[in-house]
Amino acid sequence: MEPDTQGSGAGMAKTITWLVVLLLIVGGFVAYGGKAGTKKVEEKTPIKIGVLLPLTGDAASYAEGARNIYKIAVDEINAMGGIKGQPLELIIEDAKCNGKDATSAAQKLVSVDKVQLILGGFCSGESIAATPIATEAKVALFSPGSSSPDLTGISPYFFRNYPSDASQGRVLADVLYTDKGFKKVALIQEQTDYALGVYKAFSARFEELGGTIVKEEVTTASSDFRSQLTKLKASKSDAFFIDTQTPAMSERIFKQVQDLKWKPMIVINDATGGDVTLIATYKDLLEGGITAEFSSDPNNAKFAKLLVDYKTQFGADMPYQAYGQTEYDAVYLIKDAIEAVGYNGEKIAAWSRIVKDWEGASGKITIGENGDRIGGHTVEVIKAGKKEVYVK
Amino acid sequence: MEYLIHLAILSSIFVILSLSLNLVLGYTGLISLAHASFFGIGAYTVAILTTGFHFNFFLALLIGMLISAVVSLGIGVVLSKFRGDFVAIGSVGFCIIVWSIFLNAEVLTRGPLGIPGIPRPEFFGFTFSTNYSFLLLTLLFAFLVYLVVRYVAHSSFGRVLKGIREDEDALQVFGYRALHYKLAVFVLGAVLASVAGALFASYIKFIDPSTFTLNDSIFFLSAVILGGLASNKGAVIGAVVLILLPEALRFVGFPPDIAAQTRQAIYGLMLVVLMLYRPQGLSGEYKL
Repeated sequence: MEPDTQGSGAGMAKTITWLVVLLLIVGGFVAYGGKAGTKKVEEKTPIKIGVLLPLTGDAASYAEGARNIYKIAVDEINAMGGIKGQPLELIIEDAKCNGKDATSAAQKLVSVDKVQLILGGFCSGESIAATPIATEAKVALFSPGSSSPDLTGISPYFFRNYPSDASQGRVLADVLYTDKGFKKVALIQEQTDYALGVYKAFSARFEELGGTIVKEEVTTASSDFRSQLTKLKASKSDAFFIDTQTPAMSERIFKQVQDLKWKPMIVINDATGGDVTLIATYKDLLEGGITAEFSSDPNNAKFAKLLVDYKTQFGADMPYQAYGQTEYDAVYLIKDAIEAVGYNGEKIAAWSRIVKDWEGASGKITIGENGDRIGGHTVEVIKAGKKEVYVK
Repeated sequence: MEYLIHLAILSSIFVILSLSLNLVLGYTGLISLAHASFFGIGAYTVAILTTGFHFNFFLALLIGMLISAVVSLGIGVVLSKFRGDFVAIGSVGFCIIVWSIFLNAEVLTRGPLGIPGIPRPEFFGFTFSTNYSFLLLTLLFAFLVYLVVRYVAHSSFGRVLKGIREDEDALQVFGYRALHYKLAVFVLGAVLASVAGALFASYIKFIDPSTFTLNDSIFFLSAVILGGLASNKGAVIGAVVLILLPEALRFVGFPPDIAAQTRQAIYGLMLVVLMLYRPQGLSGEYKL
């Protein structure tokens, strides 16, 4: 038996710890209660929309931007009187970018909050895991960020306004092989679902056309790529495709390519291509390089306004613009869907299939029978640190 | 209600994990951080065999248990060369190796894309497609695992395991081959963990390598320590608390902007407080 150590000091510590816990919980209640109170003035039952986001965990950096953009869109809609007088209310649950937490979050939204529509998931793994739950409950699942080709036609209840990775891999392969006449491409791929999806689509098309790919893989945690880069440099390929999940990863690779005094013709995917500052910083290295991007047309009035609104409300530039535009459009698509067919998961999912040339911040949205956004990526060329639409 | 059934299913799956780890960690005193690997082997075997080769779930489950046994035997032989804390470090290495295989053996596992569309179990024409029937199945498995673990713990074999935990050298003096006992319990724990993996894959219908990382091993370890080492009741309680606590926190009204982060912080804080005041866990008989 251990001697009892519950002296006055330990007792004091115990009291203080419980006080801290109590304070946090009560503080939470008060803060939240206060906000709920001001909303009640509207006296209208809100339309509750579920949201799945990776609020914590490895992909948390994407969630902050997404939440802010949803807030901008919802505030705008509610300021204009909501949907037929009813305000929109988002119930955001943490799906942590993994299947287990995504199912728990989706199940909670479906059976506790009784939502008819869930916005999300963001990560493809979240969407794939949440789809069976949404399908079972006849709830529409609408993802503005998941790009895995596995989601194509996965369920009549799933749809997305972010194009599948298959689309960009394909257009890049076409341009590199057919237009540029490249036969051999060196490729470095980060071991994540997105980057692998892009690679699979790219290699399927490029090899079908007759090209060869020299590929090296790196994990998300790695920061030293010299051995892989040296190998790829030695392969004397016509171009070097940097296929990463995030611009930060690409930047690390850019630096080491420069250190190796290697001047390949560089190809980047839309995740890196969407980072305009990065492209401007590495303009010498990327000169003449190629990227795929879908829309993000600076002349699009809605997109330009979103960029300005984001900056004024949150005091920072909008991160991950490629996702930002679809997230913003998603909220407005939901509004149109509910106005057209009412708040019913089954009807909204059916309605999504007839969306055609819907004008949004991400350009014209058309959703096909398989739930995918049709069209999508265009090829761009980098000149003097700026992207221009590629012409043959 | 569907949500509660969902949580009950997840809890039972994690109960199987913590019961099996408790045999290794609680009774025998081997700090194994490779448990997520065996969980993953069970899950991937079922996922690959049912989606790619249309195996029946139960057959795939058996094959998963077998693969897990073989792999754990190999790992166990290496790990048994270590003692005490070094077992933990060695098992961390194995956990990362197995995870890298899940991530990189794309032909088999589809790498980071994961495997979607895993079917629910089918038994003589009856499919466990509703969550309610699946819950009964997982409860049955959890109960069976509980019986196995309880039987082992109370047998003379179990007493030797405790002996190893307390003083391996003394036990050797009495003529017991500690190595064999350690290997046997390690393999048994791994086989039971693969059962949990099989159920998990079939329930969620989608798996990817992110569910079988070192972090998840640490999560199972926390469940056992929280519940109380060398207590089967404790292992059950620990797993259930660790699954339900973060879910319960979803309903505490934090300011929406920082809700998720606050939940994580409070979750961590509660565990720290609990360990401070109950180092032997909620219902344990022995302290690390």
